[in-house]
Amino acid sequence: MLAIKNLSKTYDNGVKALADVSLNIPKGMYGLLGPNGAGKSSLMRTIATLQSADAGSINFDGIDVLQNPNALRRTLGYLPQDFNVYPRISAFDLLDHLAVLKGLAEKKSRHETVNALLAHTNLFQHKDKAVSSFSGGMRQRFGIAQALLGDPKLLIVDEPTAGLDPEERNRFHNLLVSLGEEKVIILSTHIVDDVAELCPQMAVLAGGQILLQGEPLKLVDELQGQIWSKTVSQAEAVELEQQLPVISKRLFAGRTVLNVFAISQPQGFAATPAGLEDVYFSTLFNSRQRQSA
Amino acid sequence: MIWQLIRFEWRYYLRQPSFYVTSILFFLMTFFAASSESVQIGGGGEVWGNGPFAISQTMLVMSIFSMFLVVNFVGSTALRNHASQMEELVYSKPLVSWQYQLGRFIGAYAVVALVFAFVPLGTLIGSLMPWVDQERFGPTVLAYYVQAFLMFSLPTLFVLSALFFAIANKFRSMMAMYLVAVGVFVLYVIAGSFSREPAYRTLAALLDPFGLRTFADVARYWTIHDKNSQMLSFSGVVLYNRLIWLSVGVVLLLAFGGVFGKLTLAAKAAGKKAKAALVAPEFDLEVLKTAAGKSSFWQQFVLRTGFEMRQVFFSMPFIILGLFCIFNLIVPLIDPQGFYGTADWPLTQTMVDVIIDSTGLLFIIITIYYCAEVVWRERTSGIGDIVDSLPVSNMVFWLSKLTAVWLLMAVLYGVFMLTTLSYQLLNGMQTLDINQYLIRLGYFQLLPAMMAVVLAFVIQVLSPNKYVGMLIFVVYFVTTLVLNSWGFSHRMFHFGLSPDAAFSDLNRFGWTLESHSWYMLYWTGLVLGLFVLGYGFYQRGPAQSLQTRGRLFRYQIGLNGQLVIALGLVLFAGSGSWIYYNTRVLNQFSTAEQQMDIQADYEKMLKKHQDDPILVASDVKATVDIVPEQRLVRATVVQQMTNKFSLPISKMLVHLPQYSREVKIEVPGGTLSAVDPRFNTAWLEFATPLAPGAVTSVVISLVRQTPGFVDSNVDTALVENGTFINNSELLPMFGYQPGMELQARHERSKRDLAPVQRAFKLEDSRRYNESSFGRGEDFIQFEMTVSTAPDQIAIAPGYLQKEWLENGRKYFHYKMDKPMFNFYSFLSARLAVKKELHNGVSMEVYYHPDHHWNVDRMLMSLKDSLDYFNEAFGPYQHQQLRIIEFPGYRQFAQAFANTVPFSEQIGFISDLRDDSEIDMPYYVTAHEMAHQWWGHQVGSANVQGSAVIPETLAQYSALRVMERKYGEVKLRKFLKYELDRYLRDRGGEQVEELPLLRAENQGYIHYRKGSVVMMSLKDRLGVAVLDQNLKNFLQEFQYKQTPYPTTLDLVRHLKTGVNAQDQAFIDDLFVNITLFDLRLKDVKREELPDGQLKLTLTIHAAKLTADGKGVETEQPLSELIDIGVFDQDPDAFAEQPKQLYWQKHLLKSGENNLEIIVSKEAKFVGVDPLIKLIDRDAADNIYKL
Repeated sequence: MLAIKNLSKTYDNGVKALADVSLNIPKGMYGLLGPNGAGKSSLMRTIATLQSADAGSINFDGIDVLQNPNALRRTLGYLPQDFNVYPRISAFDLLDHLAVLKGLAEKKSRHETVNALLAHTNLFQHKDKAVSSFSGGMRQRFGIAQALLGDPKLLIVDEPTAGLDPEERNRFHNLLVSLGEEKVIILSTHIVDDVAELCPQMAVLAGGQILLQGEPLKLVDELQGQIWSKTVSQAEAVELEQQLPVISKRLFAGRTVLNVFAISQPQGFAATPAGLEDVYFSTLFNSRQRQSA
Repeated sequence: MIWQLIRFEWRYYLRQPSFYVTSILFFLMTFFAASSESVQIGGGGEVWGNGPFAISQTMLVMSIFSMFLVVNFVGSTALRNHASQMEELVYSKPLVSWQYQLGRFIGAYAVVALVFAFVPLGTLIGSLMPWVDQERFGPTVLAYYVQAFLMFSLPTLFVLSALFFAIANKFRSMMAMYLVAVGVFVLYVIAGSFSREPAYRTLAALLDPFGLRTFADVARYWTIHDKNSQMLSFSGVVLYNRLIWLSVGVVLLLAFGGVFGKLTLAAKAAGKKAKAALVAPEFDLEVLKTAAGKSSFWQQFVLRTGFEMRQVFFSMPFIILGLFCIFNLIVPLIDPQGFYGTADWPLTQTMVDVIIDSTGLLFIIITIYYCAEVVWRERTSGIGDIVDSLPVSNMVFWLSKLTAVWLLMAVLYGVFMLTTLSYQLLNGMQTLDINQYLIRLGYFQLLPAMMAVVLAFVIQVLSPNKYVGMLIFVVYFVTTLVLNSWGFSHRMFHFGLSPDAAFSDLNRFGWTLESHSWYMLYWTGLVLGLFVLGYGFYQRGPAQSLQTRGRLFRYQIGLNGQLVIALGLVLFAGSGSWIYYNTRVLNQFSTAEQQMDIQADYEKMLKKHQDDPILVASDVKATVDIVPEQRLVRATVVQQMTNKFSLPISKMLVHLPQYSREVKIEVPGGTLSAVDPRFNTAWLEFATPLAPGAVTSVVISLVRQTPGFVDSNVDTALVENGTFINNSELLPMFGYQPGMELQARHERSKRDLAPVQRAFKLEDSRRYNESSFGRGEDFIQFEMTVSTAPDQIAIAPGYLQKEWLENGRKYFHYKMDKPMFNFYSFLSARLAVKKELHNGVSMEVYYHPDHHWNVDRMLMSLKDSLDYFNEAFGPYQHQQLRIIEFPGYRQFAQAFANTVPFSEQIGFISDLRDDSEIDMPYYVTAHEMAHQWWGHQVGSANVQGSAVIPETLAQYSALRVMERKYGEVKLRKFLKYELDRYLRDRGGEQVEELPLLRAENQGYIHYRKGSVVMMSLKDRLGVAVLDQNLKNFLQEFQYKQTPYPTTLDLVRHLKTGVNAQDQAFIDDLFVNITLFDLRLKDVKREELPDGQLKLTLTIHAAKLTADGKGVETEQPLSELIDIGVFDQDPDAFAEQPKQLYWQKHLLKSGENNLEIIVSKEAKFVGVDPLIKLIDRDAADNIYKL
């Protein structure tokens, strides 16, 4: 539904944010993984009509996004990564204000939608408080509520669960899934588990380029039998890192667990089932290797 | 530790845009004040722009504004942790409280001091600019700047910093600080009115935290000479004031600055009591799937406009500013200061002016600050990405933001208008002129303000951030102030401006609607273009460079946008051409600078013809047709003229009148040469020279009308309702006109001219046969037929012979029965009339029907004057006297033979329901009536002091009439004004102050000083002697032209029959510039057993003579001077204060001690309390017990 072709963007300060990005995003949830500074937000903002591209095109359901931004805005829901709100306006009033702008013209049904959104994001009891006084998690939920206004066909959520507690996060995921059937939902995140839990399709973006795209399950399958793991001390870890293709390093009970990507089993390592995290890290690892090569 | 904190503050602010913006602002203000003459803070006149007085004054005035600087920097230092939520990070560090607080305080204070240092820097650099007029500046002395900065600025900034640091620590809110700042400002202004009372003056000098009143107290007696050279000594009140406030600052800082005690978190505002938790109803998921339709443009627009307005309206700074403006609005309503302090009726024209004045600042702030806020609101608040991704067209955002600011301004005007309307109703105005409110506020004020908003918006949209945008706008704004002095004074160069829109109740909007409309059309064209430009560049989403936005510009604005730009350009160019054609082709336009060049060249080329013989009229028969609706006058004047000089006339310089065309001068044997367009002069050449004494008839015919409209220099004399033109404005003038000469000394020296000779020397007896009206003005026989529209009355000097209707026009034929000065006028307006016959003289007042309030007072004044003058000076020469109201474009009354045109602004509208006000209509009427004697019966010779004979004597006569009606005490208030204006204006003298005897048409001398001098003389000689002497003077020179009298003749008569001491006194008043310095320094009060009071007075007394520059020399004083005691404030004469004690005491130079016994009702004691001497500060003469 959403076709991105050869999208490039270089900022005035010379930073190359997007380099020839092409993606085909079908209906359903689509995970966009990448480290900080990968260009995720630039891509999101470009799709969300907030930023122009130097080259390339974006087409959504027949709408040429770059040429006709207002047509897309009518079916767009966007939750930016960072946002704040107008001071001194209550949650209800602000959501209602945005709803009118969104195109919910009729007052009664609009009020119902607004109340329902506040209820589903667990903000109903705070609806008369100023959003600017909300805590980080509450404000994030408000952001989610406003993105869902007007049943958008394209929903772009940039780091949606940042700052949410586990319960709220689950609640949000459920909401997305139940609303998500007929939509294109792009979930930009650096949390691999979010993608693993939600997305039938995904891509990895780093350095402004798409490194990988596909179905998480298939991608994980392809990696099976190539991931090896060992628990070592910190000093050993440093040594091993220089010898082996270590894709990730995490702590477990104070000891370091190293994951290595290799065709054959390195000495002292045990086979371990591949996860989406390994897909992500091996992709980044490969990309780094290529760059340094 | 402290040092690091100081450095941290310092480095922090050097990176803030606000630091640069405020520094540049402060710099520019004083820079332009120093380097251009259109902005003035200190100095002016002969006071050097970089002398010690002007520098101190500038820095003191600016220090009041520094309050907001301090709030901004010190406040944000104190609140930064709180505002940026750093408190928890910072306070968990091992800090020593006092070091931390003090370090930050000192750092912020240093930054404030640095920013404020741009004030003297601006003056210094401004004074060194190559384009400034060197005459206005003295040598550059750095010590002046340093001293004022150290002595005034640094301590003041310290106190303010400590105050606001303490407040910030106490309340942790920026708002609280702004509120306090405004509060301090308002209190300061209110306290100002008390500090004028001499009893409180020292107190005010000590308690002024800014030092402004301290300086005023010390420098009160400074003359120009002092102001340009005297450094303030750091002693007395200045020293004490600074010590007091430094200690206050230290106490504030230590006690409330949080220096001692722990660093604690601000208590979180306790939430309102938790309401019963809302129970979230269940909502089906389907509800969420309500699809977005399409909001209409209109719905979104209304929503956004309302939203933007609320955002501005309910922001604290706006509320505070609004209150400040309402304060500004109400002060002149509660305490209106009209002519001589007398309030006017609250006419709509005045109310509109008050609104415009009091909203001026607010509108500038809205245009600079709120436009930036509104344009950048989404970006600043952080919701930009969300809102900008909504399906809202750029037009909704752009238009709603603009509309919001426009409506905000309109609402403000609305609120202010309702306030003044209520005030008018409460004050008994029966007619409310809503139309005038709407047109003047809406069309003349709001529309240009709205255009300025568009400009500010466009600047903001094109700027990388709002601070740069504000800065650009401020620079633009300041540039408009100085554009004039760079030769761009035509209003086509001033965005949004149109020709001055004078308003008169008689003539209503007059010509202003037409010219204003053309200019508005012109600016609308430009604004349309700007509107589209801003729309095309409107920024959506995160910042994108102008280039990026520029690429999309044409796409953004679409075809419609291009069409609008084209339409705008057509309008701009079309109406611009029309304005150009009208103002510069049909009419002449010259800038002030060009005008002065012309004057200078005129003088250089033609001054040599100053004494050429000219023709002088002896008989005038005029026919004038006024067509009011076309603002047209057709005149034919037949004059019998004589060469009354001793040389033959072969050619004569002719000045053609302004605003006139088809000027024809027919003289037998004379031909008019081609006109010099620069000077508008020509030569009347005679084939056979006219011999001395030859008489010839001269027929002048002309048409006076302004074609189209003009940019400035409007013909306000010829209007639809209220035409008033005198003969010198109507007719060509013969001979060199000294009135054309430039006056200002520095403008002259710039053009290589020696200082002006304003008058011929008093002893130059060759001029004694010339009238002070001019060489060509003598007594004439006069007759005029004047016609006008049938609903108007036309009036000219003389008696009405016949009145008739012909061809739908009304004709009046006037004829004077005896010779009168060649000084006449004609008027035409729709007027009501009230007549009364008094002792065979018909007293008539012609007035605008709405201005009926004071007609009876004027009639009363005419009668009282007639009675007194007849008795004191001799009989009135006419059988009629008419007062005729004319529009307030010009503010004076002028006495012609039996005819007194009288401006609507100076008496007709005075509100005299309060008895304590000076009765201005009564006074002005008496003054003009007196001119029928002084001026019309006695002329004066064309030498120094020429204005003294008509004006000083008319002042005296009018004051006598006032005194007879209102008593001596009531005159005190009037004389206080006179003395004050004399003293103030002599400080602004452009050339040289002269003694009364030699005054060179200097109003502050022949009117203001003259009043006090004559009353002083009256007190000394007694009314009988003085009036008799004046009568003798009048009789000697009545209707005499050869010679006319001079002030020497006047003084000769004044001294007749007067003892030697009083003759010396007369010399003090007339021949020297004499000033007295009387101060009642202390009064000790002691109750005597018999219930009476013994008062011991300590009086400082001195007599000084001054030279023309104000350098004073002390003279020995030994003079009998009034000591008076009152039971009430002698200023509050409505209460009719009683004089409990009244006696002259001999006072000598230096300290005098007197003891007097008075009854115990004594409340006020005064030395020379009724102002009979020229005291250089009359305010310290009264002491309140």
